[in-house]
Amino acid sequence: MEIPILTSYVVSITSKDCWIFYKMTLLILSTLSLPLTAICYFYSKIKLCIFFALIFFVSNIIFAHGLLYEDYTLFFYLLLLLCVVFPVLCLTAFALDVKYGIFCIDTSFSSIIAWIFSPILLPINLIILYLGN
Amino acid sequence: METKKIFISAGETSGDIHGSNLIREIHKKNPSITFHGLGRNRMVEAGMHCIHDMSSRSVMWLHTLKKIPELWNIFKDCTRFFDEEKPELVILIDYAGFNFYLAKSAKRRNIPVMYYISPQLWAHGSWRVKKIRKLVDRMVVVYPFEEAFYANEGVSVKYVGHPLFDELHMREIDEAFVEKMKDGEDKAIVSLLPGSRKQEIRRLLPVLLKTATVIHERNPSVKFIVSCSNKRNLELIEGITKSFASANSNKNLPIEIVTGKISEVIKASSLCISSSGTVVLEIANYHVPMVICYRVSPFSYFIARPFMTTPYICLVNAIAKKTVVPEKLMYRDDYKWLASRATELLLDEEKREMCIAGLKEITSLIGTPGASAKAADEALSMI
Repeated sequence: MEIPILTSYVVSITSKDCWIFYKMTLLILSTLSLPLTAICYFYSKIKLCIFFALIFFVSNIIFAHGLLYEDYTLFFYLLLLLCVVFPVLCLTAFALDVKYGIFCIDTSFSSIIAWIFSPILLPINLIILYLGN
Repeated sequence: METKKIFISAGETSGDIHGSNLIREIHKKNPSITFHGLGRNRMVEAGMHCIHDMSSRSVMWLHTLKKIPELWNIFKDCTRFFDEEKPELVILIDYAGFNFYLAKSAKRRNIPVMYYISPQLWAHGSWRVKKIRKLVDRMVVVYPFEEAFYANEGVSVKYVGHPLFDELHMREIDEAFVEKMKDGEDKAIVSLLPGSRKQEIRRLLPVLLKTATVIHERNPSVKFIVSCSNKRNLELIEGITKSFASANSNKNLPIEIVTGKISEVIKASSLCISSSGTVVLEIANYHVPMVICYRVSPFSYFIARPFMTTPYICLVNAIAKKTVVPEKLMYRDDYKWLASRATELLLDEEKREMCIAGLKEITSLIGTPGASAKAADEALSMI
């Protein structure tokens, strides 16, 4: 009879540790990738910039999903729309414009949108994490 | 004889001046041509039938958003003009944002498009040359290096020289006013030219005034002139100067504000500290040493940095492809740097002479008048 109790105790400790480790990893990744993206952008290292931006977006989306999805699903999707979908769409339009020159408007404006909206993800995640603790 | 119609569009003050000179030159060669379009009082005086007055429509960045409904109505009127009057040629002068839409609209209607005074694609956003290749039949450019830039991208291009030198050639200097500013004394005059847009003045003038304070501490005999490009900016410049004077410990800073008369201000000066822009060519024309700066917010600096494809913000240095005059794109108040460079150019004879020699070399390259006449020839060859 003792073995299942012990097993469940061990499993619960392990999963709790895992979640802390998981959260810490996401926290470090999302916090570090933002300044790295900014540095690469400033020095025009475009491929590295895209790489770190992807890490930033992916880690923050997973982070926000873990923190928000169950209890605040609508807020999670709104956050995703504003801080991920909107800037990424603008940047895609900019990339297409650079490649094919399709718009009359100066699309370099999209980088301003991306740098205003995307970083919001991180402080929101940090605030929710802080409030959750 | 059937009258030919040319549609012409300029949004900025400088575009209005160069547009008016172009209209006059075309009229000299073919008086039967009529001009219709967008511009300001100078173009109307030169004989253009104004579809919309573009005064107070010179905006940048986010301020453009407020003007979208107005600009949309203007655009609709222009396309209606294209449909109803079918002009022989569309001439667009600088003002890239709005003029690109007009170029697209004209192109759709098979109206040839000439673009006079290129947006500075060689300095930032060079990918936009693809749009120009699609929308414009001929680029008529004003800087020598622009010709190679467009030719390499497969755009039909013609270098005509800078029309500012036509304007300067015609302008008569008020020598009495120059002498009045000098006041018969042998004092060095440093003029501060903070630009013509209100946004620029708000950002740059406080830095220039701090610079003046440091220069005055090092050389108390120097006199300062703040150049106000037009009366609309006078109140703003006076306000900034007064509030600076009341907050500053150096109450005896000798500053005079001069409205208009920019050529006279430059000619009376031993040194100019100016914002980056076409005005630097005017300063170069009078062979006056200068320090050039442009002030942006740290965020704008961060955003714009990857798009800058030229190492120079000053046209003089970009034309010379070397640093002839000290320049700095600032994201904070680097007034000590400005004061050091200014003091060097005021006191170090060797540096001063080198700078003047560099300016003479540049004006010998680009300073000859006749750009408007050459641009007129290009326009007429397209009809």
